[in-house]
Amino acid sequence: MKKLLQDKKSLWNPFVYIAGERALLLGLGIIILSAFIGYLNNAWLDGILDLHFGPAAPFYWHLGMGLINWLSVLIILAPLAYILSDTRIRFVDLAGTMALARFPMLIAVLTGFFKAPVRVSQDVLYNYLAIGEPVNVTIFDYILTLVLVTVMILMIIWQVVLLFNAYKLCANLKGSRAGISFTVGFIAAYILSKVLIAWLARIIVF
Amino acid sequence: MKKQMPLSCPSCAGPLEVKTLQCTGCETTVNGQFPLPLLASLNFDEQDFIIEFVKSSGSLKEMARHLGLSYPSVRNRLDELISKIETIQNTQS
Repeated sequence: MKKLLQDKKSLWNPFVYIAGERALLLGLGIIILSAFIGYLNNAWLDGILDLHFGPAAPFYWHLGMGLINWLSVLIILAPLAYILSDTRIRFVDLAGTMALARFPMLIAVLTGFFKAPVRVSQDVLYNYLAIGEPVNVTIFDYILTLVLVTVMILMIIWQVVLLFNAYKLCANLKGSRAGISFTVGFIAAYILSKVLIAWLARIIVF
Repeated sequence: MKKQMPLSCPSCAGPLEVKTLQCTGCETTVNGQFPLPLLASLNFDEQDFIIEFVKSSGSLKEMARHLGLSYPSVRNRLDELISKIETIQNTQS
């Protein structure tokens, strides 16, 4: 753990130091905590790359979305890793590192405590599409929204880089083999996450 | 400072062999042509890795804990080392 905190490269690839059961426990903790924060501030992680502000929903809905986001990546990338890799892969490493790679979304979901983006989107909808009612928005709301959106985008990019490094390290893949298979797998995983969350929304009534 | 034995010729990059050995006690010199053992063809880090591997009784999990690295990192280093040893063996044969 000491090496992990000292190495600056850990920001992009902590999996050199942490994987397996420890990463899985930490990652599941991150997914549960992100779901709880989303439950408190109504920030919906409704897709691997998504963060939206939605209506109040039960905790298990947020937890369901969090688990789907993690499992979608795992369901697609784990078989790809087993097919393409020449080395012995431990499933727990893939599961753990991919759960831990959700850490940036824990930071992203904290932005839900600020209500400025909601007010700004309501203002934009009212002024440009004549939807909803007029809201009192200040310049500070717009600046804060810009900062928060930047943070969200950076966290999403960070998450993708972490997922790529987790996949590359656990499967010991390099070069275009790693890049192309990850890109294809990640797109498929994103679609799968959206489909599964839409299916979950149909079976959960809240 | 630990000196790294040169593994390839600085002029043509060909493999090097041992020509002279000297007793550290009486300074008797033995001349001949001795090929480098496979392990001596690896750099210090790779030799240390193999020593750690043996000391851990071949347990990568144990080794990962001792080195403060994750299991896949250690396993990937082992894969790279296996690949390098195979290349050296192919070159020597």
